[in-house]
Amino acid sequence: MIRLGKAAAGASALWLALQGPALAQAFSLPPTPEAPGRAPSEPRYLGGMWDSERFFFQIENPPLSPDAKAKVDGYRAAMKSGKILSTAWTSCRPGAVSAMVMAMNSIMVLQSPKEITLLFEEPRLVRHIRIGGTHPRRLAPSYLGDSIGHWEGDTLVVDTIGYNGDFELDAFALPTSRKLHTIERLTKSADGKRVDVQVTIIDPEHYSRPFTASRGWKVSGQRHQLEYDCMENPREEEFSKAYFIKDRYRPTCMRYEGEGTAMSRIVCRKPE
Amino acid sequence: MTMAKAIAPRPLATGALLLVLAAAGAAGVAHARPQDPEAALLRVWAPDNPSDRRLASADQPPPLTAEGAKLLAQRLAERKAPDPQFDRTRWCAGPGMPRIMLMPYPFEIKAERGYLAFLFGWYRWYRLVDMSGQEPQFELPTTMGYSAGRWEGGALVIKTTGLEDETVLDASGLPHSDQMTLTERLRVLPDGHLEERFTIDDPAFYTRPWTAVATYHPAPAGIVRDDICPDRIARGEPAVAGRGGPQ
Repeated sequence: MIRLGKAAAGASALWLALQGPALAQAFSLPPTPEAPGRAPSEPRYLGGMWDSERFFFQIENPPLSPDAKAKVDGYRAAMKSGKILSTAWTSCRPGAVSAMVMAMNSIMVLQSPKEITLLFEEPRLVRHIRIGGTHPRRLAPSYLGDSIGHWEGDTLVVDTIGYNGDFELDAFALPTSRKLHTIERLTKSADGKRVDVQVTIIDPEHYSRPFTASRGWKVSGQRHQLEYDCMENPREEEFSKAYFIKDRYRPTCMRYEGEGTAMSRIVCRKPE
Repeated sequence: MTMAKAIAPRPLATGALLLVLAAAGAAGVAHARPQDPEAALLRVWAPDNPSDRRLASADQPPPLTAEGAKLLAQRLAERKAPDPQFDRTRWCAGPGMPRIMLMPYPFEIKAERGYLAFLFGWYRWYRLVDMSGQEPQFELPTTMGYSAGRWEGGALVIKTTGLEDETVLDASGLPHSDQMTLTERLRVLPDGHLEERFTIDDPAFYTRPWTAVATYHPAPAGIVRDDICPDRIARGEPAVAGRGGPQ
């Protein structure tokens, strides 16, 4: 049976998001004496374990279109009234760019000549970046889009299109559309201990111009990642405070507390 | 010790995912050692019998303790009712190890300096295997646990500890405790299939360590795609392929 007090999922993910760094610090694993494979002298080598420098739950001053601003202002008003925004991130299906601007804890990078793979601990997500080539002519819209990378000097430039518009950029529910196009620039510092991450967002559906979020990763001393099991505990009471940005974020599974000696039960249903 | 049942070398026996109970430490079938065993592993694999997600069978039961047998019986009965609560994959929570290796989805093995990574086709799960030669270090148990690997000849041997006890070993609901040590032994057979031997050492529920074997075949690159379990449930589809919709 589900234990009380375990890491909650669903709407409570926002709370976790805000508490995450402290939790991660409290339970951080001891640093290993050496980290084989680290190659600080190779500027084009991003492989290995990194930690998000800090958790950002919002993008500051986005150039919202008037329509998008009205929506986002409405979300903020709901939050001020005590609601918790339920987004794709909190409903356990964030997009790739959301993970880039809201990465928590560690990011494992697998690098080969043809592909760079990003393994995000939280939100849990596997992202593939092909090196070289072009986007396919036809793309099925997806949460991750289609990412191709190339090197400009020692900076990895990642171009992504083909997003599905079914996720938000941050915890304040900055919207995205299928016109979303992101360009990310990842540059390792000269000492090999940091990666500068610049995420440029282009989405004329919701924003008046391109804008950039600056993030950073620092080299990790850990050998193992923790894990984020977002759907682990869909507690009923958490959803009672939720403000659903889209109906599709309404929970499909929920844990109902038992009365008296009855055990709690998690029930999944297709939404009406 | 001898294996309870030999592995058919070629072609693979029907039902090869089910697997063979053998005494822990039983000698495997001798095969030529691949020249580069790691390179042979690094590709996409799919289970040979994707419809069978059991680690053991009724005619080859695992050596359950009385408590383990009682718990399994409860779960087998619960499985016939709506909303079985022991099966957390039903609500898209992590299947854990070794169950995710038995699910009817492909997975890809990739390498990074000091690591091997398993990227699974079910709901964005992955696992990292630390190849630094150190013992696993952990403070909080997780569904995937903490894995450390090493090469023994042509076989990759992975030891995993720190596995939380809310997951089950397989779809039948075989229990495990958070004291379980899982040892996996992977090698690419001469016929090109991947063989994985799982050894379960968990005195809380089993009277002795026991081993099961699964096999996988090479699958095309690119078939391990982003998978969003809650979207499937919202569409009225099963959380795990082959299951009859949300239960």
